[in-house]
Amino acid sequence: MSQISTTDSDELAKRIVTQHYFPGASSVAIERVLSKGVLRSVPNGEEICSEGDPGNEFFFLLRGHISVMRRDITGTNRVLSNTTSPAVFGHMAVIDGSKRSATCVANGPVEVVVLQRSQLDRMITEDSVAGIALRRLLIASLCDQLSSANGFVRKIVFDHGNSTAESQQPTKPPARPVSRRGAEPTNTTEDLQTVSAMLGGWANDLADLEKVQGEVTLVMDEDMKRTNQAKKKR
Amino acid sequence: MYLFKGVSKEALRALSSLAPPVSFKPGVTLFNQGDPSDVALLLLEGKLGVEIAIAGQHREVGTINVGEIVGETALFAREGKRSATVRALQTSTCLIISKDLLIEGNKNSAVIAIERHLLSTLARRVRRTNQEINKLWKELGVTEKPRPTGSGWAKKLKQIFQGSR
Repeated sequence: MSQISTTDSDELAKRIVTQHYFPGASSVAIERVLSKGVLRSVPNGEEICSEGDPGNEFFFLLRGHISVMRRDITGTNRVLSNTTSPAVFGHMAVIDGSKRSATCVANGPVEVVVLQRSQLDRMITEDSVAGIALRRLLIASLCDQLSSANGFVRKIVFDHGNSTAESQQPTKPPARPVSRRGAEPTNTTEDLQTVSAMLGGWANDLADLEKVQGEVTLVMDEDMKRTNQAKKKR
Repeated sequence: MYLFKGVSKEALRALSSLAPPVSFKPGVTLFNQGDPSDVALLLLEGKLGVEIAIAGQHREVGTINVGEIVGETALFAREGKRSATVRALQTSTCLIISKDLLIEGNKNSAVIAIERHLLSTLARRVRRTNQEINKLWKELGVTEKPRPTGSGWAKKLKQIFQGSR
Protein backbone atom coordinates (compact mmCIF):
# COMPACT_ATOMS: atom_id res chain seq x y z
CA MET A 1 0.00 0.00 0.00
CA SER A 2 1.17 3.50 -0.80
CA GLN A 3 -0.08 7.07 -0.85
CA ILE A 4 -2.12 8.35 -3.75
CA SER A 5 -0.03 10.20 -6.35
CA THR A 6 -0.39 13.97 -6.67
CA THR A 7 -1.79 13.63 -10.18
CA ASP A 8 -4.39 11.05 -9.14
CA SER A 9 -5.29 13.01 -6.03
CA ASP A 10 -5.77 16.21 -8.01
CA GLU A 11 -7.93 14.46 -10.61
CA LEU A 12 -10.02 12.53 -8.08
CA ALA A 13 -10.58 15.61 -5.90
CA LYS A 14 -11.79 17.61 -8.90
CA ARG A 15 -14.19 14.85 -9.90
CA ILE A 16 -15.52 14.54 -6.32
CA VAL A 17 -16.22 18.26 -6.14
CA THR A 18 -18.01 18.05 -9.49
CA GLN A 19 -20.11 15.10 -8.33
CA HIS A 20 -21.03 16.26 -4.82
CA TYR A 21 -22.21 19.74 -4.05
CA PHE A 22 -21.54 21.24 -0.63
CA PRO A 23 -20.91 24.75 0.73
CA GLY A 24 -17.31 25.81 0.44
CA ALA A 25 -16.47 22.82 -1.75
CA SER A 26 -12.90 22.92 -2.98
CA SER A 27 -10.78 20.30 -4.66
CA VAL A 28 -7.73 21.53 -2.73
CA ALA A 29 -9.50 20.73 0.54
CA ILE A 30 -10.50 17.26 -0.71
CA GLU A 31 -6.90 16.66 -1.76
CA ARG A 32 -5.85 17.29 1.82
CA VAL A 33 -8.30 14.61 2.96
CA LEU A 34 -7.03 12.15 0.32
CA SER A 35 -3.44 12.78 1.34
CA LYS A 36 -4.20 11.23 4.73
CA GLY A 37 -5.25 7.92 3.17
CA VAL A 38 -3.41 5.01 1.60
CA LEU A 39 -3.91 3.50 -1.83
CA ARG A 40 -5.14 -0.09 -2.09
CA SER A 41 -5.56 -2.17 -5.26
CA VAL A 42 -8.40 -4.68 -5.24
CA PRO A 43 -8.69 -7.49 -7.79
CA ASN A 44 -11.94 -8.27 -9.61
CA GLY A 45 -14.50 -10.05 -7.40
CA GLU A 46 -12.83 -9.33 -4.07
CA GLU A 47 -14.89 -7.89 -1.23
CA ILE A 48 -13.75 -4.44 -0.13
CA CYS A 49 -16.06 -4.43 2.88
CA SER A 50 -18.59 -6.98 4.09
CA GLU A 51 -22.11 -6.65 5.46
CA GLY A 52 -22.20 -7.24 9.22
CA ASP A 53 -18.52 -6.45 9.78
CA PRO A 54 -17.47 -3.56 12.01
CA GLY A 55 -16.68 -0.39 10.11
CA ASN A 56 -13.09 0.50 10.83
CA GLU A 57 -12.29 2.21 7.55
CA PHE A 58 -13.93 4.03 4.66
CA PHE A 59 -13.02 4.45 1.03
CA PHE A 60 -12.71 6.80 -1.91
CA LEU A 61 -13.11 4.98 -5.20
CA LEU A 62 -10.24 6.16 -7.39
CA ARG A 63 -10.57 3.77 -10.33
CA GLY A 64 -12.98 1.06 -11.40
CA HIS A 65 -16.46 -0.06 -10.49
CA ILE A 66 -17.96 -1.65 -7.39
CA SER A 67 -21.21 -3.48 -6.75
CA VAL A 68 -23.07 -2.67 -3.53
CA MET A 69 -24.98 -5.72 -2.30
CA ARG A 70 -27.16 -6.75 0.64
CA ARG A 71 -28.29 -10.16 1.77
CA ASP A 72 -31.98 -10.96 1.37
CA ILE A 73 -33.91 -13.25 3.71
CA THR A 74 -32.42 -16.37 2.09
CA GLY A 75 -28.91 -15.01 2.58
CA THR A 76 -28.44 -14.39 -1.13
CA ASN A 77 -26.60 -11.18 -2.03
CA ARG A 78 -28.77 -8.84 -4.08
CA VAL A 79 -27.22 -5.93 -5.94
CA LEU A 80 -28.50 -2.58 -4.68
CA SER A 81 -26.40 -0.47 -6.98
CA ASN A 82 -23.31 -0.35 -9.15
CA THR A 83 -21.01 2.52 -8.37
CA THR A 84 -18.22 4.02 -10.35
CA SER A 85 -15.43 6.48 -9.55
CA PRO A 86 -15.59 9.08 -8.05
CA ALA A 87 -17.44 7.85 -4.98
CA VAL A 88 -17.06 7.70 -1.24
CA PHE A 89 -18.35 4.54 0.41
CA GLY A 90 -18.20 2.55 3.63
CA HIS A 91 -18.55 5.73 5.71
CA MET A 92 -21.92 5.08 7.32
CA ALA A 93 -20.69 2.39 9.71
CA VAL A 94 -17.70 4.57 10.53
CA ILE A 95 -19.88 7.57 11.33
CA ASP A 96 -22.36 5.85 13.64
CA GLY A 97 -20.25 2.94 14.84
CA SER A 98 -22.72 0.34 13.61
CA LYS A 99 -21.97 -2.74 11.54
CA ARG A 100 -21.61 -2.62 7.76
CA SER A 101 -25.04 -2.48 6.15
CA ALA A 102 -23.83 -3.68 2.76
CA THR A 103 -21.11 -5.62 0.99
CA CYS A 104 -19.00 -3.85 -1.63
CA VAL A 105 -17.32 -6.01 -4.25
CA ALA A 106 -14.82 -4.99 -6.92
CA ASN A 107 -16.42 -5.22 -10.31
CA GLY A 108 -13.20 -5.44 -12.31
CA PRO A 109 -9.86 -4.15 -11.05
CA VAL A 110 -10.34 -1.35 -8.53
CA GLU A 111 -8.18 1.19 -6.73
CA VAL A 112 -9.38 2.81 -3.53
CA VAL A 113 -7.99 5.36 -1.10
CA VAL A 114 -8.52 4.01 2.42
CA LEU A 115 -8.95 6.16 5.53
CA GLN A 116 -9.18 4.79 9.04
CA ARG A 117 -12.00 5.39 11.47
CA SER A 118 -9.66 7.14 13.86
CA GLN A 119 -8.79 9.63 11.12
CA LEU A 120 -12.45 10.34 10.44
CA ASP A 121 -13.23 10.71 14.14
CA ARG A 122 -10.48 13.26 14.44
CA MET A 123 -11.14 15.17 11.23
CA ILE A 124 -14.90 15.60 11.60
CA THR A 125 -14.42 17.49 14.84
CA GLU A 126 -11.79 19.81 13.37
CA ASP A 127 -12.16 23.30 11.97
CA SER A 128 -9.28 22.60 9.56
CA VAL A 129 -9.79 22.85 5.80
CA ALA A 130 -9.70 19.05 5.53
CA GLY A 131 -12.09 18.60 8.46
CA ILE A 132 -14.68 21.01 7.05
CA ALA A 133 -14.45 19.46 3.57
CA LEU A 134 -14.72 15.89 4.84
CA ARG A 135 -17.70 16.64 7.09
CA ARG A 136 -19.61 18.35 4.30
CA LEU A 137 -18.67 15.80 1.65
CA LEU A 138 -19.99 13.00 3.87
CA ILE A 139 -23.23 14.91 4.51
CA ALA A 140 -23.69 15.44 0.76
CA SER A 141 -22.97 11.77 0.11
CA LEU A 142 -25.48 10.65 2.77
CA CYS A 143 -28.12 12.97 1.28
CA ASP A 144 -27.58 11.21 -2.07
CA GLN A 145 -27.69 7.79 -0.42
CA LEU A 146 -30.94 8.62 1.35
CA SER A 147 -32.47 9.82 -1.86
CA SER A 148 -31.39 6.62 -3.65
CA ALA A 149 -32.65 4.40 -0.83
CA ASN A 150 -36.02 6.16 -0.86
CA GLY A 151 -36.17 5.69 -4.62
CA PHE A 152 -35.40 1.99 -4.13
CA VAL A 153 -38.25 1.64 -1.62
CA ARG A 154 -40.64 3.37 -4.01
CA LYS A 155 -39.59 1.06 -6.81
CA ILE A 156 -40.12 -2.09 -4.74
CA VAL A 157 -43.43 -0.88 -3.36
CA PHE A 158 -44.97 0.38 -6.52
CA ASP A 159 -43.57 -2.27 -8.88
CA HIS A 160 -44.68 -5.07 -6.63
CA GLY A 161 -47.81 -3.33 -5.38
CA ASN A 162 -49.07 -2.87 -8.92
CA SER A 163 -48.76 -6.56 -9.64
CA THR A 164 -50.45 -7.76 -6.45
CA ALA A 165 -52.85 -5.30 -4.89
CA GLU A 166 -54.54 -4.39 -8.16
CA SER A 167 -55.37 -7.98 -8.93
CA GLN A 168 -56.89 -8.39 -5.48
CA GLN A 169 -58.84 -5.13 -5.49
CA PRO A 170 -61.15 -4.93 -8.44
CA THR A 171 -63.04 -2.06 -6.80
CA LYS A 172 -61.04 0.74 -5.21
CA PRO A 173 -62.56 2.23 -2.04
CA PRO A 174 -63.04 5.99 -1.93
CA ALA A 175 -60.00 8.13 -1.17
CA ARG A 176 -59.26 8.74 2.50
CA PRO A 177 -56.36 10.94 3.47
CA VAL A 178 -54.03 10.12 6.31
CA SER A 179 -54.50 12.69 9.05
CA ARG A 180 -53.08 13.14 12.50
CA ARG A 181 -55.22 16.13 13.34
CA GLY A 182 -58.68 15.08 12.26
CA ALA A 183 -61.24 13.49 14.52
CA GLU A 184 -61.21 10.36 12.44
CA PRO A 185 -59.46 7.58 14.38
CA THR A 186 -56.64 6.08 12.35
CA ASN A 187 -53.74 3.74 12.95
CA THR A 188 -51.49 6.75 12.47
CA THR A 189 -48.39 5.29 14.06
CA GLU A 190 -48.52 2.40 11.66
CA ASP A 191 -49.06 4.76 8.76
CA LEU A 192 -46.15 6.91 9.85
CA GLN A 193 -43.89 3.93 10.22
CA THR A 194 -44.67 2.76 6.73
CA VAL A 195 -44.42 6.18 5.17
CA SER A 196 -41.22 6.93 7.06
CA ALA A 197 -39.49 4.42 4.83
CA MET A 198 -40.16 6.73 1.92
CA LEU A 199 -39.18 9.89 3.71
CA GLY A 200 -35.99 8.98 5.41
CA GLY A 201 -37.23 7.66 8.74
CA TRP A 202 -38.84 10.75 10.20
CA ALA A 203 -41.38 8.81 12.16
CA ASN A 204 -38.70 6.62 13.70
CA ASP A 205 -36.55 9.63 14.46
CA LEU A 206 -39.49 11.18 16.20
CA ALA A 207 -39.65 8.27 18.64
CA ASP A 208 -35.94 8.59 19.30
CA LEU A 209 -36.11 12.31 19.81
CA GLU A 210 -39.03 12.03 22.21
CA LYS A 211 -36.88 9.73 24.31
CA VAL A 212 -33.90 12.01 24.12
CA GLN A 213 -35.92 15.09 25.04
CA GLY A 214 -36.76 13.61 28.40
CA GLU A 215 -33.11 13.14 29.18
CA VAL A 216 -31.54 16.34 28.03
CA THR A 217 -31.58 19.86 29.28
CA LEU A 218 -32.32 22.54 26.80
CA VAL A 219 -29.38 24.91 27.03
CA MET A 220 -30.34 27.88 24.97
CA ASP A 221 -28.07 30.85 24.93
CA GLU A 222 -29.52 33.78 26.85
CA ASP A 223 -28.91 36.12 23.94
CA MET A 224 -30.90 33.88 21.64
CA LYS A 225 -33.77 33.88 24.13
CA ARG A 226 -33.71 37.65 24.46
CA THR A 227 -33.68 38.10 20.68
CA ASN A 228 -36.60 35.73 20.42
CA GLN A 229 -38.59 37.48 23.15
CA ALA A 230 -37.96 40.86 21.56
CA LYS A 231 -39.25 39.57 18.25
CA LYS A 232 -42.36 38.17 19.89
CA LYS A 233 -43.08 41.53 21.53
CA ARG A 234 -42.67 43.34 18.20
CA MET B 1 -29.86 21.95 23.44
CA TYR B 2 -28.14 18.56 23.52
CA LEU B 3 -26.52 18.96 20.13
CA PHE B 4 -24.70 22.03 21.46
CA LYS B 5 -23.38 20.16 24.49
CA GLY B 6 -19.80 21.25 25.06
CA VAL B 7 -20.07 24.27 22.75
CA SER B 8 -18.95 27.50 24.35
CA LYS B 9 -21.33 30.40 25.00
CA GLU B 10 -19.13 32.57 22.82
CA ALA B 11 -19.62 30.22 19.87
CA LEU B 12 -23.40 30.13 20.46
CA ARG B 13 -23.46 33.91 20.72
CA ALA B 14 -21.58 34.15 17.41
CA LEU B 15 -24.04 31.68 15.88
CA SER B 16 -27.06 33.68 17.03
CA SER B 17 -25.46 36.77 15.60
CA LEU B 18 -24.82 35.12 12.22
CA ALA B 19 -28.27 33.51 12.16
CA PRO B 20 -30.75 35.04 14.60
CA PRO B 21 -33.51 32.54 15.53
CA VAL B 22 -36.84 33.18 13.83
CA SER B 23 -40.29 32.41 15.28
CA PHE B 24 -43.34 31.16 13.40
CA LYS B 25 -46.94 31.16 14.59
CA PRO B 26 -49.00 27.96 14.44
CA GLY B 27 -50.32 27.30 10.95
CA VAL B 28 -47.63 29.26 9.15
CA THR B 29 -46.10 27.46 6.15
CA LEU B 30 -42.32 27.44 6.26
CA PHE B 31 -41.69 25.52 3.05
CA ASN B 32 -44.00 24.65 0.20
CA GLN B 33 -43.58 21.41 -1.69
CA GLY B 34 -42.13 22.17 -5.12
CA ASP B 35 -40.60 25.52 -4.13
CA PRO B 36 -36.92 26.11 -4.86
CA SER B 37 -34.88 25.37 -1.74
CA ASP B 38 -31.91 27.24 -0.37
CA VAL B 39 -31.99 26.92 3.43
CA ALA B 40 -32.45 24.26 6.09
CA LEU B 41 -34.03 24.73 9.50
CA LEU B 42 -32.94 23.57 12.92
CA LEU B 43 -35.95 23.52 15.25
CA LEU B 44 -35.11 25.13 18.60
CA GLU B 45 -38.63 25.29 20.08
CA GLY B 46 -42.07 24.03 19.10
CA LYS B 47 -43.15 21.44 16.58
CA LEU B 48 -43.45 21.33 12.79
CA GLY B 49 -45.64 19.15 10.60
CA VAL B 50 -44.52 17.64 7.31
CA GLU B 51 -47.04 17.12 4.54
CA ILE B 52 -46.78 15.81 1.04
CA ALA B 53 -49.25 16.35 -1.77
CA ILE B 54 -50.12 13.29 -3.80
CA ALA B 55 -52.77 13.37 -6.47
CA GLY B 56 -54.00 16.71 -5.16
CA GLN B 57 -54.42 15.51 -1.58
CA HIS B 58 -52.27 16.75 1.30
CA ARG B 59 -51.16 14.03 3.66
CA GLU B 60 -49.32 14.60 6.90
CA VAL B 61 -46.44 12.17 6.99
CA GLY B 62 -44.46 13.18 10.04
CA THR B 63 -43.47 15.79 12.57
CA ILE B 64 -40.24 17.61 13.29
CA ASN B 65 -39.39 17.90 16.97
CA VAL B 66 -36.96 20.08 18.87
CA GLY B 67 -33.38 19.38 17.81
CA GLU B 68 -34.28 18.05 14.38
CA ILE B 69 -33.07 19.53 11.12
CA VAL B 70 -35.34 19.71 8.11
CA GLY B 71 -34.60 20.65 4.50
CA GLU B 72 -30.89 19.88 4.61
CA THR B 73 -30.76 18.74 0.99
CA ALA B 74 -31.19 22.43 0.07
CA LEU B 75 -27.63 22.94 1.27
CA PHE B 76 -26.10 19.76 -0.08
CA ALA B 77 -27.63 19.41 -3.52
CA ARG B 78 -26.74 21.42 -6.60
CA GLU B 79 -30.31 22.34 -7.27
CA GLY B 80 -33.47 21.13 -5.75
CA LYS B 81 -37.04 21.69 -4.86
CA ARG B 82 -38.80 21.06 -1.59
CA SER B 83 -40.06 17.50 -1.49
CA ALA B 84 -42.62 18.30 1.21
CA THR B 85 -44.54 21.15 2.77
CA VAL B 86 -43.55 22.09 6.31
CA ARG B 87 -45.90 23.98 8.64
CA ALA B 88 -45.66 25.17 12.23
CA LEU B 89 -47.94 23.02 14.41
CA GLN B 90 -47.12 25.11 17.48
CA THR B 91 -45.37 28.43 17.96
CA SER B 92 -41.96 27.40 16.73
CA THR B 93 -38.50 28.92 16.78
CA CYS B 94 -35.98 27.89 14.15
CA LEU B 95 -32.41 28.58 13.31
CA ILE B 96 -32.16 29.23 9.59
CA ILE B 97 -29.16 27.40 8.22
CA SER B 98 -28.07 28.96 4.97
CA LYS B 99 -25.08 28.38 2.73
CA ASP B 100 -23.76 31.76 3.88
CA LEU B 101 -23.95 30.65 7.52
CA LEU B 102 -21.98 27.48 6.74
CA ILE B 103 -19.35 29.45 4.84
CA GLU B 104 -19.03 32.39 7.23
CA GLY B 105 -19.28 30.23 10.32
CA ASN B 106 -17.21 27.31 9.07
CA LYS B 107 -14.81 27.52 12.02
CA ASN B 108 -17.52 28.15 14.61
CA SER B 109 -17.81 25.18 16.96
CA ALA B 110 -21.62 25.54 17.09
CA VAL B 111 -21.79 25.21 13.30
CA ILE B 112 -19.48 22.19 13.49
CA ALA B 113 -21.83 20.71 16.12
CA ILE B 114 -24.80 21.22 13.78
CA GLU B 115 -22.94 19.50 10.94
CA ARG B 116 -21.94 16.57 13.13
CA HIS B 117 -25.54 16.26 14.29
CA LEU B 118 -26.65 16.24 10.66
CA LEU B 119 -24.13 13.52 9.83
CA SER B 120 -25.43 11.18 12.52
CA THR B 121 -29.07 12.01 11.71
CA LEU B 122 -28.57 11.22 8.03
CA ALA B 123 -26.68 8.00 8.79
CA ARG B 124 -29.58 6.92 11.01
CA ARG B 125 -32.15 7.79 8.34
CA VAL B 126 -30.25 5.89 5.63
CA ARG B 127 -29.88 2.88 7.92
CA ARG B 128 -33.57 2.90 8.81
CA THR B 129 -34.56 3.16 5.18
CA ASN B 130 -32.28 0.20 4.44
CA GLN B 131 -34.02 -1.71 7.20
CA GLU B 132 -37.35 -0.93 5.55
CA ILE B 133 -35.96 -2.33 2.30
CA ASN B 134 -35.13 -5.54 4.19
CA LYS B 135 -38.65 -5.64 5.62
CA LEU B 136 -40.11 -5.16 2.18
CA TRP B 137 -37.99 -7.97 0.79
CA LYS B 138 -39.13 -10.17 3.63
CA GLU B 139 -42.73 -9.11 3.17
CA LEU B 140 -42.74 -9.58 -0.56
CA GLY B 141 -40.60 -12.71 -0.61
CA VAL B 142 -37.52 -13.16 -2.71
CA THR B 143 -39.32 -15.23 -5.31
CA GLU B 144 -41.50 -12.21 -6.02
CA LYS B 145 -44.64 -14.37 -6.20
CA PRO B 146 -47.87 -12.53 -5.39
CA ARG B 147 -48.78 -12.98 -1.74
CA PRO B 148 -52.07 -14.66 -0.96
CA THR B 149 -53.19 -11.93 1.44
CA GLY B 150 -53.09 -8.19 1.13
CA SER B 151 -52.01 -7.19 4.61
CA GLY B 152 -48.39 -6.43 3.78
CA TRP B 153 -46.24 -3.34 3.79
CA ALA B 154 -46.35 -2.94 0.06
CA LYS B 155 -50.09 -2.96 0.04
CA LYS B 156 -50.31 -0.54 2.96
CA LEU B 157 -47.96 1.92 1.31
CA LYS B 158 -49.69 1.61 -2.01
CA GLN B 159 -53.04 2.16 -0.35
CA ILE B 160 -51.86 5.16 1.62
CA PHE B 161 -50.40 6.81 -1.43
CA GLN B 162 -53.42 5.97 -3.53
CA GLY B 163 -55.79 7.29 -0.89
CA SER B 164 -57.41 4.02 0.09
CA ARG B 165 -57.08 1.32 2.71
